Amino acid sequence: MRIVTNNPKVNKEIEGQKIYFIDGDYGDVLETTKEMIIDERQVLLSHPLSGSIKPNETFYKSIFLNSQKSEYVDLYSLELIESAQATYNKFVADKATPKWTEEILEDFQMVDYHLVEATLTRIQIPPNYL
Amino acid sequence: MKLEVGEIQINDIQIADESKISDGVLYVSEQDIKDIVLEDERFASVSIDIARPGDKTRITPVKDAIEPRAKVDSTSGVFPGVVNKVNEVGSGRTNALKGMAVLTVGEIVGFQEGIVDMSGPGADYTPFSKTNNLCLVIEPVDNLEGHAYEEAARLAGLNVAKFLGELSTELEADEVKTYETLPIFEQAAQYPDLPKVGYVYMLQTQGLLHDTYVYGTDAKHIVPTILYPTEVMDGAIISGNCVSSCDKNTTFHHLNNPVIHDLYARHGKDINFMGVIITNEAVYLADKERSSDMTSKLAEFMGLDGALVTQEGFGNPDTDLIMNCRKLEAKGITTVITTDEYAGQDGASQPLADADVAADAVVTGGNANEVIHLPAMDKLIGMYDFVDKIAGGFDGSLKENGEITVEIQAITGATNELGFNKMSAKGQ
Repeated sequence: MRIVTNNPKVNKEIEGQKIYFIDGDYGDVLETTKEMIIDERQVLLSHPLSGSIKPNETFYKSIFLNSQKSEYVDLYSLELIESAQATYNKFVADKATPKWTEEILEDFQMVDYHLVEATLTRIQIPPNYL
Repeated sequence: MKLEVGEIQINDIQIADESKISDGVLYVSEQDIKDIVLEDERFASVSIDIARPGDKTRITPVKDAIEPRAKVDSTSGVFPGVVNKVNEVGSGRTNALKGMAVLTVGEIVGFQEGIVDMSGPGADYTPFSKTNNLCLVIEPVDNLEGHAYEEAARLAGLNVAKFLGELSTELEADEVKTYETLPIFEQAAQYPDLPKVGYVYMLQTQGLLHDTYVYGTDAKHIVPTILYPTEVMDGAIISGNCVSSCDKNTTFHHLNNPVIHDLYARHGKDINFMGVIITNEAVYLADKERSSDMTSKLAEFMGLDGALVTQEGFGNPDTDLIMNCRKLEAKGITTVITTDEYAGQDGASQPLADADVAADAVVTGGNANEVIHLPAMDKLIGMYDFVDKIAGGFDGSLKENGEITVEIQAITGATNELGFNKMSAKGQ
């Protein structure tokens, strides 16, 4: 299992997990995730639009992925990530993500971090069956 | 399970030396409220203010709204497992203070949303412009973490609502309404010729600032289960959701869930309302599959012919909504879903992040991206410094004179997905 994220707080403070840190924005996390689904046959474990904070509002995104035994691209994962990208593009087309103050960015990091933490409490049995 | 709700109309709220209800007026002692709120050492201060319908007042950022309620002649208490001990609720007698709400106001995170205008064009979009509001502006101690502030604010609002509700226990209700759902076999037998309809109640459960509690337990960790609808009226479900103010279900919305009320209104006439299935909205995809499997299985188990499904929130829960719909329909249960839309400011984009041909009956609460201009108000309850940072706010959207241009997603309850608002769209 790996967590793809651009959230420095997740990168720094989530322990015992394989973190793939991206020095980029929300859209970059979605794009990298899509590449992993296609090129590395990774499967989505978490919903790419996790959280009710809008994609043109928060700067941060963390997504859980897992490898699978199948040699084929997981079409459901691909469908979800493409749909998330369409949603992201729709929001930023209306209004680009503002340049937030450092304090606000820390709040967004905190909320994303806690979503990651909550998701880890839900993944009680590692999905080795995939 | 049978519940009598004694409605006590509150026509005004006044600050007074003694807290009491008399002739339709709620008198509130500021000291009583401070004693309740500041018992929690996580708060530095609380200020109390009153907003009435028609006032030129803006309240922001609103966290939760709660209708004060109290059990009468009962060993159980409202909001069980949260501000009263865990004990089955939903039967006996409950008093509800109608025409008012307790609003908790405070900047839990810097980007927080939630505007309530008591008059002007924004007032049409929020149900809390029509209630007399006791506003608690709560300030945390320095360096209190977001999750601790959220929890403290949540409990403060519920404790104040509990206290105010209990002022009514000796009063004669203006009106008493009775709601009853029988155990499943008896309920099915009561109206054997009517279609059996159930309500699938999706709860926001993604994590911090996105949580909902059922009898005090975090609903992200439950598997779907069945509730009598009256349990919801006694506060079995409370909101810990602070994000996406237009389509979050406040505790007030849960207590007054319009789907439950409307299904009861038709109960025994053209439908047989069988009960409520509560389910969650997870981040982990396996949880989504598990919960939607369980939900459709419970619906089949209850013998439902039809189901109404309501969503809470945006994006990720669209997937739960569609999974629930698809699996219910696959079991032959006719399903209607209720949601809202993020269709872009022009309304022309795909409104949901998921879709399926099984979702052929959809009720919308409106397009959250719609832009509105809010004129300046004479009075502000809360704080303005965040408005430029809120969802739907544009850079510079707040003018020096207090005018704001925002998407309606910044307004509390504007596109509520239980249908607790006036906006909708009807097909021809």
